[in-house]
Amino acid sequence: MTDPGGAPAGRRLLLGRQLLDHQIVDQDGRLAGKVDDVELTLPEDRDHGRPVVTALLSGRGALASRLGGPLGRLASVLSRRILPDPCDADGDADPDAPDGRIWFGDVTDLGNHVTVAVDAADLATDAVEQAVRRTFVDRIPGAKEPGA
Amino acid sequence: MAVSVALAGCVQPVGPARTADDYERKAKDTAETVLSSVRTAELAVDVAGRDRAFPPYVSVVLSDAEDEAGAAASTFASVQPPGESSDRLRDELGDLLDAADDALSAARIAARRDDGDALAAQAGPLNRIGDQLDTFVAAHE
Amino acid sequence: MKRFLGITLGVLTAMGGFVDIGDIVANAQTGARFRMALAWAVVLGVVGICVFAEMAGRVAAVSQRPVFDLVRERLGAGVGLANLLASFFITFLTLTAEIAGVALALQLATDVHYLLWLPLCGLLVWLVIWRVRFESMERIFGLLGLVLIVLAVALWRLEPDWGGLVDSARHPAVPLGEGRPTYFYYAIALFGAAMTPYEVFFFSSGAVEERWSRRDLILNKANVFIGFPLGGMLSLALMGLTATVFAPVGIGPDHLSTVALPVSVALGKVGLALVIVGFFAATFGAALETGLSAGYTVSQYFGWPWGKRFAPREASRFHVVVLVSILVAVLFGLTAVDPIKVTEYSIVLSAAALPLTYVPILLVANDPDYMGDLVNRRLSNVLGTVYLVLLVLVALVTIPLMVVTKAGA
Repeated sequence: MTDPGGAPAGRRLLLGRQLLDHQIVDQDGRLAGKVDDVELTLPEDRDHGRPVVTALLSGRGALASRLGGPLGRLASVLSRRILPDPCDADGDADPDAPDGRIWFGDVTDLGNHVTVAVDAADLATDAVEQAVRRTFVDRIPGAKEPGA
Repeated sequence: MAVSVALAGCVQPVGPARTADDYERKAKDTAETVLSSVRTAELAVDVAGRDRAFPPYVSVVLSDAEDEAGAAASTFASVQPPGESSDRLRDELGDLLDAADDALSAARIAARRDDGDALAAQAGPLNRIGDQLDTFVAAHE
Repeated sequence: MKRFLGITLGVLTAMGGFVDIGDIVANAQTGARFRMALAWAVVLGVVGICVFAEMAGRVAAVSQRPVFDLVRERLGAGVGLANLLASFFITFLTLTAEIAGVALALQLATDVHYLLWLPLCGLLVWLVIWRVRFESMERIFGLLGLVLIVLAVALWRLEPDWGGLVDSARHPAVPLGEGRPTYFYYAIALFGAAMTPYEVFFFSSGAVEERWSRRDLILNKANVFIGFPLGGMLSLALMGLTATVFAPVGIGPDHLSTVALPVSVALGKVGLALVIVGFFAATFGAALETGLSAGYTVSQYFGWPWGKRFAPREASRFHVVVLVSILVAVLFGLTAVDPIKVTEYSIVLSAAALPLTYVPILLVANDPDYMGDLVNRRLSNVLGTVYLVLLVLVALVTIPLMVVTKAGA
């Protein structure tokens, strides 16, 4: 996942206004967390070129890290430990599992919310949703249909 | 006001009364709370007598009134009177509170037993005690 | 027909918002103690919630985003988190009180102690949230809550001194024997009860749940301008009832049982039955709203999928938050904490936290990116800003007043 380098052309973003803390919506319109943080890549040539947004960060303690402070750090560490480590079918740690980064190239629309060309199920934030679903919600009768 | 004295008694520890005035105020507040309970009970007995309420409901009202008065009375009893003049006040109010408690209990018991006559019989005592409490409150405003 | 059903959203919210257990007792207590001298506080609260609920509904209908969803975006993650913590805590307190209120209403009908009803009430509330469709839930409790019109009928039947009541309302002086701080404390309590945050969370999230769009804007106005004033009138009717029956004899109604007495006096067994059903419906409806709002606020802050319009497994974290909130609320209630006191605290703390809820609404309703051509008109903005100043003032004085008056003693 390389970034295009220090190309000066491109859209200017007001990170705070247009990206941070905005809702992420997946390719099917499902809610998929918020933009907890943003990954910037600095251009190799420090004197020219601007930092480029290379990824959105969502989940896996990103918000806690950003909020900072002792509580933030604690929450961030805890979330990385407590949250289920994504496993593949053999139960080994899955290196391809979502790590909370959404490559910025997957962003298809920036409006009130950020639309990404990804399935929510593949995102880190959904790992918790799936875990909760498996452990609790699916065990309660009636979880699979919307109400009567 | 009176309401919160009862509520406060359930939740917070009550401080001592430092002066006679302080104690008098607490006495008055207690009397107001118990007056409220007694008048409530009186109204409930009246409503029950005219068959304008269901027995379970009447029981609940009377039971709540009794609890409220009881809580106020025990809160008051736990307050240390600061001096002798306050002792007299304590006795005076104490008698009233005991009478109120008796009437309220009798009413509650009668209601639970669905004993209309016994319930109606409490109307008089409740009314009298209410008036006495009224007088007490007015005297110590 | 759909229009008529749409109006029930506003009516439910109004009933739940105005006539929940705290409102019932607050209005009843105020009437008994101050007669109608604090009627203005209810009116002020009604106008306030109308102004902001209209905005919140409009925002949800146009942008498909409910209010709390936008708090983090507009106020930032840190402030948003503080807002979430405060809002959630207050909503949770209210949830506890409402579920207890349902139990108390059942006690009134059966003389079985409310603590014994409490777990069942919690279960029922959760079951309805889990299984019943949003629209059905809303319809049922909206219609059932209308039964509280019996309060107005009872007042009329008692043939009170209307002149005296109106006079008392129009001369909002502090009565003899009461202090100014206590007077304003009760005013804040009434005001806070009318404008509780969870109403707005529920109303705006509900608009998204019901998939409102621009076509529903008239519906929004109808809901707000019919539903909330209706709730306000019922509050005032209750205030009038206790002013008429309790004030003259010195009864201070701090139990739900006492509050129903004037209706019994006026209308006998039929009235009593109706008012108990009404109490049940109002508190149950409010329990549903606060339970859902607990889920809405947390989910919307973190961007999780939320809502009843999906199958529960599609919004698992949302439903777990709701379930856990109800569970903890029941457990808290089972400690025999006085539900009336819990409610009083929740109302007053709500008043202290109102600016947190309403600032984002005003901001977003003015943002053309979200609202397009439906941004606030001047009237909304003027009223909104005036209220915001008022809310900030209220927020500043609430806690000090609470301390000074020993919570209304």
